[in-house]
Amino acid sequence: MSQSPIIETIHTLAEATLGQTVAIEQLSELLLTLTEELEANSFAALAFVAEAAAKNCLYCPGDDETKRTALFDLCERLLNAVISTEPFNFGGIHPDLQWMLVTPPDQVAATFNTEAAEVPEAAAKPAEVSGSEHADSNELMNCQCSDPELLDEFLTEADEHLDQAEQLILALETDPQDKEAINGVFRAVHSLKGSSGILGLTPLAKLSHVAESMLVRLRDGALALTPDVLAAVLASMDYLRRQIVSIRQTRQPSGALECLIAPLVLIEILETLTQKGTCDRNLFDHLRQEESGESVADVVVKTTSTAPKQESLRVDCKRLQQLIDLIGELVITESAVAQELAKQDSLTASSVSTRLRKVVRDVQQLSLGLKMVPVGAILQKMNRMVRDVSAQLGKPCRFVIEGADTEVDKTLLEGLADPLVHLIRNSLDHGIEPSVSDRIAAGKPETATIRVSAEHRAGSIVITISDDGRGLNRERIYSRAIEKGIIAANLKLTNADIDQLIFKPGFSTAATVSDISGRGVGMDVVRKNVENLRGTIAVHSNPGKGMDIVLELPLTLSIIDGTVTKVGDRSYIIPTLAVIEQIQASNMELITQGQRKLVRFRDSYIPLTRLSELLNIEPGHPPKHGEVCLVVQACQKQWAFLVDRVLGQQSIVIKPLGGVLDAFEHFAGGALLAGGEIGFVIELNTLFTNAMR
Amino acid sequence: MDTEQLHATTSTASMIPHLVFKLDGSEYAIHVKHVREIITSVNPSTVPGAPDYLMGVINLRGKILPMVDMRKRFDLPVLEDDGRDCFIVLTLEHDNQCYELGIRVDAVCEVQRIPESCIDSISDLSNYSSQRLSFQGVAKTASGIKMIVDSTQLVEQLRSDVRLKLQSSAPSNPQPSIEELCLS
Repeated sequence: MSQSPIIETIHTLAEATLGQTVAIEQLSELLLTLTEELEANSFAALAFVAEAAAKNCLYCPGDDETKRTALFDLCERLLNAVISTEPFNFGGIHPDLQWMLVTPPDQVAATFNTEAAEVPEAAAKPAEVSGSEHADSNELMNCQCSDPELLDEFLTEADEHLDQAEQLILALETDPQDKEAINGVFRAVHSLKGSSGILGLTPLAKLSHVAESMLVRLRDGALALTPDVLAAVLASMDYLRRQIVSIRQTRQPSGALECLIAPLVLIEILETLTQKGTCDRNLFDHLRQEESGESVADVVVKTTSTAPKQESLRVDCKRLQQLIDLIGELVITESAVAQELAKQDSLTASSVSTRLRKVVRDVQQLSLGLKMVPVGAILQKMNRMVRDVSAQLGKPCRFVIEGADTEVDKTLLEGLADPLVHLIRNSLDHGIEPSVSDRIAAGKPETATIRVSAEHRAGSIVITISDDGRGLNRERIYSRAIEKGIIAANLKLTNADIDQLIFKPGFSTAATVSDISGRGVGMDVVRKNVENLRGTIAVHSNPGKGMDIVLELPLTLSIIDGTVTKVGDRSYIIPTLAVIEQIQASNMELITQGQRKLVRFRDSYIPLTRLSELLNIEPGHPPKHGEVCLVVQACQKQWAFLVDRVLGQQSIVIKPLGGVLDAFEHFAGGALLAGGEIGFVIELNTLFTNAMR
Repeated sequence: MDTEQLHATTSTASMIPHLVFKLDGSEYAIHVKHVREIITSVNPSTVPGAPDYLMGVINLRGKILPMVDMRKRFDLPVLEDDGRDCFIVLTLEHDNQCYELGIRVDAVCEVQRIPESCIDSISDLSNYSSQRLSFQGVAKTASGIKMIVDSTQLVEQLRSDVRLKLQSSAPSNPQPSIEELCLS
């Protein structure tokens, strides 16, 4: 740690401040250079002070003369600190210097705005002399504690991180070799550094940064975990906690000078430890002087009691699922009870039964709602991606979200993230015209639009991704498919068939593989992922105008209203929401077309088949009065099939069939029916997709 | 630690507890960590399109379990159901997923601690087509020879048999597809 160059720099700076010829902006520049030198020589705390002064001195209220005096004062103190290796002495500093060191960024912004009007010359100069630095300050001004939501989130997370880090540090006291623990603390501090930086909480960010560097050395084994090191880390945690408490109360970082002293000492300690492995005991004494005398216990109590009334609660997912499963059992039991009560044929039995049913239904609704989260959460993240990718590709594009409040099961949402990202990237990469001029030539606005809309429709959630790009290039897809041997050379295909080709494995029309899309793994994986969530995906392309991709997914994964049917000895359950109509044999109007029979449904005729045929099992035992025809909606079409009997409708809890039977994709699961029998819940979309292939 | 104690500790360390069950006169063993419980009476609901050794599925405290008839599975003659069957509920973790199933056996004997030294892994025995039989080894103990069942292989075999059966019975459709016939 050579000191002479630094001492020289400080001397130069001090002289500059005394002279009348050097502008404040240039002094600021010199200070920044000094900051770098201090950093490079492990004077982290001093670098922090110098940097703060460098950035804020331009906006400090008052005239140049006072500013110069303040900066001279700074130089003196820095010199003292460097030579004596004592911490930076704050005693009796120039008030302007104090302003420069502790003013939070938003106040700096406010000053700058008023100053700019009065001192146009000074305003012009910063743009020339220190253009980048100017931009830095703007960055700071933009991200600040003024956003209450952001601040709240930060405070909650910070508490959690600190709790976690503390636990791990205590574990390290007993087992200093625990690598996982060190890693855990590192991660917590790293997160704190990031989020406090974003919010402009510079002292916290700086402290976290220095702590993080030390933890890195600990983690890599370059530094031994001595009691001093542990004490330093714990002291840093304590300080951070106290800050969090204070910010929570005042809703902004403390502007007092005192609040700067403690972190600087801590930074000093951490830095020394990082470099030398030991540190001067005196430094710890300085720290103790600064502590307000609160014990850690007091701080913890303060933290919990000042925490705002929790509006939400973190609940273990497993527990929630157990609750939902049990409520499922409750629903089944209620059905059985209702049946028994119905047999009693008394008014009281009937009214009690109705009340019970209502309560159970309400509980069920509520429980299902527990796992529902608004779709908007995931869509907001796409916003950032669209911005970045469209900039990267040079294709200006705006992202519109509709129906962000539409709720969906949390597990479903997690499974949707990947497919959505891929589809949106596809739109950006392939769908939207390569250049703005192409769009203008086509009579479209310069900025492309990608719209994602979510809505509830008949028990499903429908998510549509539309763009106003070129749509699918059918010639290219067709020729590419022939090239790859996916289809025979002169096979005639309809437009819809060509569109479906994009779902074939290994398909892509992109000339080169970019990291965005075009690797050809895309659409078939997307479809698989969507089908795993028991959903469907459909593509509607309008060449030249754009493309719509429609995803349809079941709303609730576990409890549905089911129509219980029988084919032979087994029971099969059809989701009632999908059943459009039930036609008795006697009411069926049939026509024959070759070998096929079609049944009349409203104004059209639908091919009729048997459920046993669709499932590929032996035909059932049709009763004397004939089978029952069910008309259902699936894959955006209507289908009709026959079952032996329809037993009725009831609430069904879909239970997974288990990993051993996961090849049964056309069954959404099994359901416990009265009498202990297990019926199979039909997954209509898969059943008919398979039938179509 | 004196030599006797040392011997005792090392012996217990390499004694692996297995559940021993009987099937058609022979004894088999399965690692205790895969055994969840033993149940006696079931009434499985048959599964359409599953291999015939799959008896069906049952409900065990709210969970659906497939039941495998081990006699059928090992191609042994099937006995009349005399109400004395036992079913062992197996559970295993594989590929980050939990698999559970029940197997029907003639009788459950005991839990036996088999010393590792008595176990020969299946690669030593070239006579058995061990893949199909899902065995991972043979234990030669004082009370006789026991085949050790490999639960993971059992489950994998089961899954692939199910898949194959479903695929092979998928209809080859010479008739025009349903879609094409939809008149509007």
